[in-house]
This record gives sequence, C-alpha cells and structure tokens, in this order.
Amino acid sequence: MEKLIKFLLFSLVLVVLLDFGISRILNQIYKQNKVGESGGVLNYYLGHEVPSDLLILGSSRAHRHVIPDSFNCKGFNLSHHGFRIPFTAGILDILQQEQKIPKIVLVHLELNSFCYHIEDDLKDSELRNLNFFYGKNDFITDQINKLSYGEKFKYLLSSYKYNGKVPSLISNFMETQNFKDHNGFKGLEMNPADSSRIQKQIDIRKSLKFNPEVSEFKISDTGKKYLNHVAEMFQNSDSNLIFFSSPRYLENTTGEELSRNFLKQFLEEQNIPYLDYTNYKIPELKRKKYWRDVEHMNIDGAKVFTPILRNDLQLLLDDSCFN
Amino acid sequence: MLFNSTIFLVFFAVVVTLYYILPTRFRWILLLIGSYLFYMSWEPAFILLILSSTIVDYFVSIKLPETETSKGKKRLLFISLFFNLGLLFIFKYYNFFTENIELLASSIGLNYQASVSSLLLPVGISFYTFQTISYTIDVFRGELKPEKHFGKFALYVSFFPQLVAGPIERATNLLPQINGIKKKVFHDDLLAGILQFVFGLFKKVVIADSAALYVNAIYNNHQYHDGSTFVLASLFFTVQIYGDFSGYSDMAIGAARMLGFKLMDNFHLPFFSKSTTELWRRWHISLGSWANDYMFKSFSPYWVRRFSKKGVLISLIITFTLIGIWHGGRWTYILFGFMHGFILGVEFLTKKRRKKIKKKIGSFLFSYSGWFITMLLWFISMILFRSVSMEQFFHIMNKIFSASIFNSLFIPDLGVIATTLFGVTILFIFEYFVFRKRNFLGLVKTYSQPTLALVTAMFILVISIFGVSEGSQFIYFQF
Repeated sequence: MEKLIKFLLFSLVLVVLLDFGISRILNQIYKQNKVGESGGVLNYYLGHEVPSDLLILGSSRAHRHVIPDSFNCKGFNLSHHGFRIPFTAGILDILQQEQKIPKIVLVHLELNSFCYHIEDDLKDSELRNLNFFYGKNDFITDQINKLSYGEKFKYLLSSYKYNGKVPSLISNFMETQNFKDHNGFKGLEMNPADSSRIQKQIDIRKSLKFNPEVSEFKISDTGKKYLNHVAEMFQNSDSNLIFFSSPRYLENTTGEELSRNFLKQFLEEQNIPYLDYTNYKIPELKRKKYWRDVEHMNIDGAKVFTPILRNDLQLLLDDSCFN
Repeated sequence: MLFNSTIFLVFFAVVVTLYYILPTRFRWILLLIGSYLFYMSWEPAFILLILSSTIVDYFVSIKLPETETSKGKKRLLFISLFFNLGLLFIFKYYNFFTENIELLASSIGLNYQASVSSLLLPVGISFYTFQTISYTIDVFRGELKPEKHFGKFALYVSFFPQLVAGPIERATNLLPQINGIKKKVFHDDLLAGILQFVFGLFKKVVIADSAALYVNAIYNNHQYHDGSTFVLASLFFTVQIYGDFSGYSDMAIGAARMLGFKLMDNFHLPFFSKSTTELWRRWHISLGSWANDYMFKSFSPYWVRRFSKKGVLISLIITFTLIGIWHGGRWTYILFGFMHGFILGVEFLTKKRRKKIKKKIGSFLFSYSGWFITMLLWFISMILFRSVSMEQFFHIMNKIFSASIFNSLFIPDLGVIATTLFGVTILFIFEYFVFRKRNFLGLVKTYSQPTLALVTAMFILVISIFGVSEGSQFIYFQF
C-alpha cells in the first residue's frame, strides 16, 4: 500500500507541475491571438482601448450578413459560427465586466433557439466555449458549474480551460503573425457551385417530409433564460440593445411561428426593439444569386441586406450611425 | 453513471476505499450493493430485471444437478432460456419484429397494425443476459457446479465493472474469484489497473468522442454529403467504435483489477490482423468466444455431418448472423453479422489455397495484402454497422462508388480532425511499440515507478486538454 501511495503522490505532483507549465504556455498563446473564434477575435475586440460604436453579435448568419463598414460609425462584427443566445449572453457579460459595451448593440436571434421539437432543446453547454473566462467571469462560471455535477472538479486543472481548443489556438497563433486590422466581418464570395448547392438543399429538405404540427413544438426555457439575461443587462444601461433576425433563402419549420410570437410578445414587454426579416420579408433577397446556401448570404446579399437594416435602425434610433 | 463521468470516479473511489477497509468476508456484500446502486443510477426499476434473471437462473442451476432425467434437465434449461431470451425479445426486438410483420402483411395486401412498445431498452441487458445464459448452460452440460450462495451468484451476474458492456465473463473465471476474495493487496495489480483505466479513458474521450463529433455531423445529415466525405467519416467511425468499446473494456478491466479481479481481455490489437478470422480473435473477444462455445459448437456438428466442409460455412453464417442480431433489431446489424460469417466461412474454405498463394508471393506481400483486404472489408462492414437503415447504407455506398468520391471533402471543424489524428497517433505508438510485447501488468513489471507516474500524468493532461468534455454514452451500452 505504501508503494501505491508513493506512486499516486508522485503522479499527482507531476500532474500539477505539468498542468502549471502547459497552461502557462497555452495562456501565452491565447493572449497573443487576434484572429479566430476560439477567443482570438474576442481578444482583439477587448484589446481596443476605445470600443466600437456599434457591435454585432450572433451566429454565422450575423457574421456573414451584416457589414460593419456600411454604418456611419465604427462598427465591429463579433459574431461566432454555430453559437446562439447562450454564447452571445456570455460574450455580452464579459464585455460588460470589461466595460467594453458600445452605445449600440445588435444581437442576432436564431428563431430555432427559442422553440424545439421533441427533444432537441437548445444546449447551454455552448458556454463551455468561453471556458477561458471560468473563474474570471461570475456569470460564465455559474452557468458552467450548473452544467454538470463534476464541472468544478474539471477546472482544478488550469489546462482544462483550453479543452478542445489547442489545434485552433495554434493555427490562430500562426495566422496572427500575418495579422491585419479588421472589423470582424468576412463576406462569402460568390461561387459558381452555389446555385446547385442551394437546389440540392431544397430538394433534400423536400424529400425529408418533416412536417410536424405547431403543437409538437415547445418554447425553450434555455433560450428564454439567456434572452432574459441579455435583456436585464441593458435595463439600466446607456447602451441601446436591438434584436434582429436575418432572412433565409428557405424558411425552416412550422415551429418557428411559435418563436416569432414568443419573441414579439416578450420583447414588447421588455420594450426592446426587434427587427424580424425572416419569412421572405425582403423580396429582393428571394434571388438565388445572393446566397451561398439556403441559410447564408454571399457578400452581394450582405450588401443588399445591410443598408435595409441600417434604414430600419434609423427609424428606431436617432443616431448618427444610421444617417 | 458513465465511466467517463466525475460521479463514477467519486463512486469508485468510495467503493475501492471501503473495499480495502472491510474485512474480506464482507467485501462481496459491498460489491453487490455497489453494483446494484451503479445499475440503478440509470433507471432504478431496471434492477428488477437483473434480480428476476438472477433468481430464475439461481434456482434453475440448483435444480439441474438434482434432476436425473435428460428431459427434466432440458425442461429446466428451457425455462432459463425462455425467461432470459424472452426479456431480451420484449425489450430489444419487439418493435423490430412487429414492424417487419406489418411490412410483410402490407406486401401481401393485408392491413395489420401492431401496437408499438414504448419500453426503454435497459442498459447492458444483452451482456448480463448472455452471462447468465452461459452459466446455466455450463451447469446443464455438467461443466460447472452450481453456486449455492445466492448473494455471490447475484454478484457474478451484476459485478459493476463489466455489468453494462462486458467483457461477458464466464462463471468459471469470475465465480472462483468472488469466492476467493483475497485479503492481500497486490501493488502491481493496483498499478496496472490504474494505468489501464486511464488509458481506456484516453481512448474514449480523446479518440472516440472526438471522432464522434465528425461522424455524427456527417451520418446524421447523410443526404447532404459526397463520397469523399463518407470515406473519411467511415474511417473515423472505425476509429471511434474501437476507441469507444476497447476504451470501455480497458476501463472495466482496469477497475476490476484495482479490486483484485482479473477479467478476460476483450480486445487485442485488432487492427494488426491479417485476416478477418484473426480479427475476430482480437475484437470483442468475450462475445466471439461466447458465440463459439454456445452457438457455433452447437450448430456445426449437424451442418458438418450434412454438408462436410461447407457445413462450417453455414454454421459460421448462422453464428455471426445471430451475433449481428445480438447488436439489436436492425437489418444493418443482421447484414453485418451475415457478412462476417460469410467472410470467415470463405477464409476457412480457402485455407489451403491461401497457403499456396503465400508460398508463391512470399510471406511479406501475403501478410500486407491480407491486412489490406481485412481492413477494407472491416471498413465496409463498419458503414453497415453505423447506418441506421439499409436505405442509408445503400445511399452511402452509392456515393462512395460514384464520381462524387472526387468532390471536395466537407470538414466543418479542422480542430476535431486534428485532435482525433493526434489521439490515434499516440494510440498507434503505444499499441505498436508497447502493447504488442506486453500487457499492463508487464508494463508495471518492466518500467520504474517514476516512469509510469510520468506516463500516467501525461495521459491525464492529454485527457484534460484534448478530451471531449460533454461525455457521450458508450456505443455498446445500447446493446
């Protein structure tokens, strides 16, 4: 037994030492990154002494659809691919803590974040992608701790803050060496294969024959919780919060009608403006040439959409950004 | 309570500590309570299934030696088989069976609609059912004396390290260990157990769970992808299932070893196999040997008498088709089993011819071409195994063998690919340079304690940095 205890203690000491060394190295790499979605672009934004006047947050659709330079002020697109309202809420909390919330914040909402069919509820585990801020930001720490019983134990190792991120940290570190200032937006160039890709996606959707009733959907409590958190953050703030949902070439399922009604009612109660462009509200964007796939516009589409958004924002807010 | 969860680590630490504090004669009680609690963590009501299976097989096995007539013995065996396989049918195959009856009825113009069972599949039912069946058959054959102690027999059925996904243990191996729990703690066993558990965890969370992210993204949206993407996703699935199942087995064997129990090996470097026959001696060994002892050896005398050597082919096809069905009620599993039975049969029938070829082309070329063909066939069978329907399987095969194989690869996250490849590289280095020569116990006996501590610490850090933190269920839990 004595030999075993020695082995365990020796292993433990080695784990602590190696963890300390490796997490220091990874921390250095992380801090230097200015590009990429595993913290680089957020670092870059936080590194600005004077924050932007306008900030766009959301998923890949917000990232590809809104051109910050189309506004009459300094704008930045801090959207991250594949992430929805829990992640956005986490980012906003970090920005609030760092006092980097600009005067106007545009938050993109994915309708499918607020309703779900049978068991596909929104997962708040996407906040794990902000685990670098575990222990540094109370909201993120609390939410991550609630994810599972053992989360607190995992973070006993500092290196766990970089869990799942090392390959992207390294590639972003290399990319940062050739770094140029940017506004966070990266438009999709038009590609000859786009049209056939869109047609294929339409055909597949049709063939899936997934046509459930509205009654089969539920409003997501997770979506509601994070939306509420974002709304609360701006209640006594000088900054303006505006939600929007950008158009799609092919609309999704029936259940989203439930989301629309919920968002409309909830945001009206909170007195927060919401611009909903889904359900083919912009006729011009029904043209295939503006789309990379059925969800994402190409840069030409973004050039059509952003001015429309700007005009609508002008009607909502009397701000020089939208003149 | 998954092996890769924090709650299991806490549970296991408590069990191990109490186990070594308690006097030897009470240890089986602790393990039995622990095993039942472990199983109840999934669904408390399912403990009744294990308990009923234990009671039936306990009394059947006690009665068997007392029964003098062969007819009476057969009747008792039938009761055990009927009960255990009946449970398996109700929980695992009922819906598959009724769906196919409905299909058959509609194809001949009849309108038959059976009720759909909404029963959940109890975790590990196929494993402990096979374990109890083998015990009763051994007693029936007179190869084993029945265990008189009900509590210890209940522990044999429910021993938590191997309860939900094997290895499917034989009573001849496990029961003597339960009856002879030793007081002395063997340092080397404990150390080997820790190493094997950590290595298994690495296989599961770094390799299998990373690969699963890509595989699921492709297979769950198979309509959108092309041949080249399916080739990569299927290769990743091959890696995933190996990491998942052999990782689970390593954790099970390691955990048992820490308690002083030696479970049988379940995997032994299967990807170094040069024929499918060899591969099945290295892949899911406990199921393969179970099928050999209780299925193949029962069928083959009859078929060999009727068809000579071709009877072996038929017996292998029947045995492996049953192995396919064991995995679940799905045509793709059945075809997976059939395919392997057929390949093994062909390998058996062409043994002499292959020896001649080996002489002609030399053993080097023969070995490597054998390895290539084995891996190719295994790869195709993995597509079958992962496909949720025959329609999906044909769709994927059609894409792979069409011009779309030259279309660009779809890789949503390069990080996932890099992590999986990183894990596979470490695995290959350890399997090729270390585990071909020695097992975990051999490792403990060969290397110094500081070296082993360093390796353990490094694996823990690799798991912390590269492991997928949202631990998914082990694939074989569903079987």
